[in-house]
Amino acid sequence: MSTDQTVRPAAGIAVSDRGAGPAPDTGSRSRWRPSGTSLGIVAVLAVWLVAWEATVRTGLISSTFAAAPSEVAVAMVELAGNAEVRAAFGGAIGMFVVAFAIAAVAGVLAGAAMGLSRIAYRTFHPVILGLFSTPKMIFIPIFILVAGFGVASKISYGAVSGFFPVAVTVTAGVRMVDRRLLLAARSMGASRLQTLRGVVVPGSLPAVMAALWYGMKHALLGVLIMELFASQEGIGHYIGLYTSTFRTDRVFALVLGLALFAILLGSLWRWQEKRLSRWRGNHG
Amino acid sequence: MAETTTAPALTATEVTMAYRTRRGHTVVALDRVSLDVRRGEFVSLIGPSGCGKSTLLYILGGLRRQTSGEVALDGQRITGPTPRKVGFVFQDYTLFPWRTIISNVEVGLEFRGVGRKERREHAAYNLDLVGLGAFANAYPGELSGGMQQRVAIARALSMDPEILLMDEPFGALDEQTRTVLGEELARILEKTGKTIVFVTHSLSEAVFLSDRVVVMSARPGRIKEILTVAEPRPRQPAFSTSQSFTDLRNGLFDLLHEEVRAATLAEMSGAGIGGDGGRRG
Repeated sequence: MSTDQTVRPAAGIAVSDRGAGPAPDTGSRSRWRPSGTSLGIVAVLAVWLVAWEATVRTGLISSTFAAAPSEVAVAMVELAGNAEVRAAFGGAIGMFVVAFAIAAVAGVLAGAAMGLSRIAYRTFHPVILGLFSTPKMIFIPIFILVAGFGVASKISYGAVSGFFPVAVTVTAGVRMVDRRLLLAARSMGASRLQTLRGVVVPGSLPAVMAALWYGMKHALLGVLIMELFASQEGIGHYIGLYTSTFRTDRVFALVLGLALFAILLGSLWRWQEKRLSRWRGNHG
Repeated sequence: MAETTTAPALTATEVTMAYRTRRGHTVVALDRVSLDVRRGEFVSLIGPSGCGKSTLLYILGGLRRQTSGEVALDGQRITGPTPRKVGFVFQDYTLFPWRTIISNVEVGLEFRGVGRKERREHAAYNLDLVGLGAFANAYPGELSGGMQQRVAIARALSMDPEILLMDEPFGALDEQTRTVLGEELARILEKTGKTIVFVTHSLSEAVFLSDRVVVMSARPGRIKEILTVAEPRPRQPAFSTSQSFTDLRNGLFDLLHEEVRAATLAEMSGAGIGGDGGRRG
């Protein structure tokens, strides 16, 4: 009624279409059509692969140091058939999952505590921020000393690597929940628990998602770095082995496999995040 | 004039609000303010920035505690927010952006523990009352500022308080929207018969909506004068172009102008330290 019906049209709703509800996400479309962007990406990839293949085949880059995409593809198939390599690959992923789980839980709890409690913030945050900024790779020998060359050092290093970004980002996210929303809740008689569940958690959720993503990346990186350092077994061992025997096609294949895993992780994450961020509409 | 009983709904007696700023100065936001708000009345608080009007509002609603003096709701001392009796409408960014409109309207009832079906019905009723029933499933981000404020009003109304405290609810909106929403508010209030305390910077708004306009002085905030607007309610749009309206508004302008000058000069000379009376947070 009256003149104040100015709705900023969310994607997919005509302004005259009252009561149509929130912006529909593309997930409900029945037919998938490739967008201009994804075609562009495919095109760029194709060009790059062809160039890569060409430079190696023609000897522009010595095949001692590089492998052509075709060779890498073959190596991938070979290695996939090798039970031991498969186990090593699976082992790396498994260690990452455990490391990330630890980092995520500890990081979110620590971050929430520092975000909600002024005392905790003032006491711990400077320390954690400082450790976050320190490159942890210099502590690798200590990890190996304490936890050995096996799974324990890899998981612990991965967990520690993932913990700091999660804690720091969650703290920031909790602290940035708008004061006015907290005031509104208080004016409506919300208890502390209700405010936490109803305002702080949903309000800091975007930040927590970002925090977990950083945590994932750092935990994966941490596990892989430790794999390379303490490379007596596992993926690190194979990468080292194939590098020293100049089986560059196999090295590339392993690295590509890990990269694909990381990309897959990222895609799954983005998909989930989009689902949870529907309310941000055009501005999110 | 709206029907009012003689028993005051809200009373402030010698309320003083003083606090220390970070730099160690003492700021007196309110200085022995006494005010009675009668049941069914619409009272506006108007005054220069920093005069403590929002602070007074928050104290009346139990969101802040005064340094000295008493505030009472229906004769009982106020110790904290009383959502069953007192509802708030703030200036901006009060809706939870992750909830749909209807979910926002019912959130207060959710905090109260009301069952799902009942609170959904209640919320839908109040959303219709402000004319936004069609947007129940939209998100706040999709609505304009004016619409969001109407939702905020619906949210406060759905908790069914006898008293509504509104802190410059239309302050973030453009003038045209403000005028229309002001008329809307008058219509809604007639229907619901609430007691309202309304903080505003807009003289026209104050005169149009109120039974009484409380003019506050520059810091330290005291009540300078209280103007009575005798126009019968419900207020019609025609009132805002009438002579009596203009006279009242001009009177307010004169009263206010002195205070605004005083406040501005005080700020410029450095005496107005500490910001705007701690209105925020």
